Amino acid sequence: MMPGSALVHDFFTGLGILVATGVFVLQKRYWKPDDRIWIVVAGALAGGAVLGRLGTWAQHLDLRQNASLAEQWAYGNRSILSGLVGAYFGALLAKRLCRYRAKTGDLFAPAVALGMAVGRIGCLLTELPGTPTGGAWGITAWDGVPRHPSFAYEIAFQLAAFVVLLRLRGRVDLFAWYLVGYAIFRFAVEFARGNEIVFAGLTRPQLFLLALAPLAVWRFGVQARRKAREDREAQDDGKPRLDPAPAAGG
Amino acid sequence: MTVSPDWTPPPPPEASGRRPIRPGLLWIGVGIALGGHLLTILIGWLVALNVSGEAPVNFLYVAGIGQVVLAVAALAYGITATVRARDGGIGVGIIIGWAIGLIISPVVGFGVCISLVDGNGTFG
Repeated sequence: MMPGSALVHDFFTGLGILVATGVFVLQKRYWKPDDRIWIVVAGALAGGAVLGRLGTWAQHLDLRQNASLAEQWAYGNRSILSGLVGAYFGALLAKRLCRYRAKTGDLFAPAVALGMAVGRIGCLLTELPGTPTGGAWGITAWDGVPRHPSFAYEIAFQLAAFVVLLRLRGRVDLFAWYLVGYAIFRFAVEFARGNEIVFAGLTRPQLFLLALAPLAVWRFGVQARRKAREDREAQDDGKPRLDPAPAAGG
Repeated sequence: MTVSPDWTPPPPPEASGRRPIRPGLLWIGVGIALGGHLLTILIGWLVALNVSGEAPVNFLYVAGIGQVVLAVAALAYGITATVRARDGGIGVGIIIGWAIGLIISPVVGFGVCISLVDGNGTFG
């Protein structure tokens, strides 16, 4: 990170959270969930905040080489990927806790996309933007080398995702599809990001995503089975299947 | 006394005895947790100004301990209150405020550290 730029980075992170909060409030007015949605919000925020801080702890397979949890908490890198995973599982845990059965991901997905677009401006302004490139679109940071503006690619992706998510509202499981789309995009953009390559030509975020892939496949399998069962039950009842109530998602 | 023909009996209270989350109480919880974050920074700052040694190191040490105490207190109370669901949302608000503060407090802490490194610990 460029020296002395932590404040700029954290400022845009805070601004991203504010923007995401605004979008969430608008989405809440649209979907009108019951009051237990706040418990889900609390779970998502707490899970995201904790895992976003601790998610990059396991840098080495030899655990003794990693920082202590206290050092990681105080000085470690923040990770948006592990923060998203933490938010997802935090929301699931909270839903179990308060027995909230309605889907909630559609409320969160557009807010996360726009919030991340704003938050990444801080990364674009303060971090080395990517791998060196000879292309005319390369940007030159403080080291004088033209590089891929990988954070600009991500901002463009998040803005496009935000628009698409709003257009698809109520038609598909928005959060699940957003996560899959972001995972594929992030895996690809890592080749231009310039993060340290640690194994088989892949960076840590790419390995993290590969490790999570079976979980995503399992999740989609469970959803597909549930939908098939609901369709079957509706057919057995002799009545057409109703569309899900407008509060869908993760 | 006449009763409107549109009148229907109010719904019975939920069997679980869960008290609904009220926005006012939720915001009180958020405020308590954010106040806790501010307090850890304030105490760290005052200690750094008044105790001998390297001020930024003292600040980080005291604020760090404060953050640990705050995390344990906020999560213990917040989760317990959320499970019991009888406080109208204060516990949920405390968890939300704690998590937001966790993201925002490094920005404030960074500013305090800069002021301490600059020498006088003030922002004037």
